[in-house]
Amino acid sequence: MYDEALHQERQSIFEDVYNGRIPKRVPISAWITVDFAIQYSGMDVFEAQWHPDRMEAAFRKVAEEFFADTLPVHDAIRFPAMYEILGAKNFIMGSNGYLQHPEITPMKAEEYGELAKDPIGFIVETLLPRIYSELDTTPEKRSIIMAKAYKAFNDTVGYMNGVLLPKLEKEYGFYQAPAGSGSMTAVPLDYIADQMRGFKEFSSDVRRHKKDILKANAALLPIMLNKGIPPAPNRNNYTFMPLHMPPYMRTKDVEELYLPDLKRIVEEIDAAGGKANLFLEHDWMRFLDHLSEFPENTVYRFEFGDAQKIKDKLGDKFIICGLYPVGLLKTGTEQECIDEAKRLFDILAPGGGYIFDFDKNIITTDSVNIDNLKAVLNFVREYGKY
Amino acid sequence: MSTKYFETWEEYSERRKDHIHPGEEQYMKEVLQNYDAEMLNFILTLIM
Repeated sequence: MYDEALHQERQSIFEDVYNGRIPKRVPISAWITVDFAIQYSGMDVFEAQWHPDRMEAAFRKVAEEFFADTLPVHDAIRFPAMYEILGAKNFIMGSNGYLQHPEITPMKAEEYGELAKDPIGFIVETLLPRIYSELDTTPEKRSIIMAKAYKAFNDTVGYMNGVLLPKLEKEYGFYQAPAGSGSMTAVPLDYIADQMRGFKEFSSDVRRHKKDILKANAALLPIMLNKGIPPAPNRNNYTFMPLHMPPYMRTKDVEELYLPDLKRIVEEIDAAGGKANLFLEHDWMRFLDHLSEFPENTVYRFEFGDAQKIKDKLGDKFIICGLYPVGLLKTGTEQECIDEAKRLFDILAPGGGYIFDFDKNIITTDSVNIDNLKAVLNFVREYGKY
Repeated sequence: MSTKYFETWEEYSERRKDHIHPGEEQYMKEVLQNYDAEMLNFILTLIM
């Protein structure tokens, strides 16, 4: 189970890539979700999510049966307990046992000024009671419900990320990042669009309320920046930032409303001694020139795109990952799946700066052919040697 | 980060004035800096 030599290799290959050196082999990351692990271990997905203590067996099974250099269970960030306590409208349990994120618009277009004037106050006093029905009550009840929700959050997300996952990383000898060096944040515009205004309304705001958006962005920037700098920044770990809206906006709007804040956050994290890992959701090909201006060794996880163009434009300065299509693991033959991995390695691995990962998180067992997934992970372990 | 919901040590010590006990400063600075930061992070996470 634990192999000291393999553990040391994992530490060295990540530290090499993260610091601009060519590693012994390409590090392998596989973003398999908690939901996948529950299904794969044969547990009931509805029931298991209410029992954090039962997750360990599920995570062990995935850790033992799928090769990766990081613990192949990620995304332990959403469990139903907290959302049910709060009466959530933003995350609702679906009939298949997965928390779904419906489009919500708790903030009105004419409220940008209030958000800009006092972001935390507006979130706490106005938005949270609209998003979470159980908080729409007296201050006394609200404080008790918040305390219960915070306990549920720590019993689930806190336990997973603070106790269980680090324990398994150590026990199995996966890559271990320095303590306190990870974080997560968002670009102000995404923060507004995702769950304040919603995709549809925000898309209209870009044309009708541009000045208001700029003011709200400016007010949120120090808060998002503060959230993104971990307690102990380190080049060997990262602040994760899922990026959402630019592929759905005009380039000139992105240049005005989005990229300056994104660049500032990434630069501040870099200046603090950390590193940003940007998950470029959907198609970012028209922004490669913009991305080329960011700090060296920033991690770009691409969902879509031309691997050769990405390598040519960003390969010398940055760390590229993603791009491997999860969909192929479902529809392709084993040889087709391996051929695609080989194609990506031949383009992206030369000269370093490449971490193998998929284009999307693998969230259900039926979204891939399990044999194909295992075959690809085993193949890249050998093929990625420099 | 100072907001209207979270006290700074300066605000807290002014409220407590000269009644601060031995050990209170060290403990409360940790609460005000770390625990309040954690709660602010939780609040922000609720709409992420």
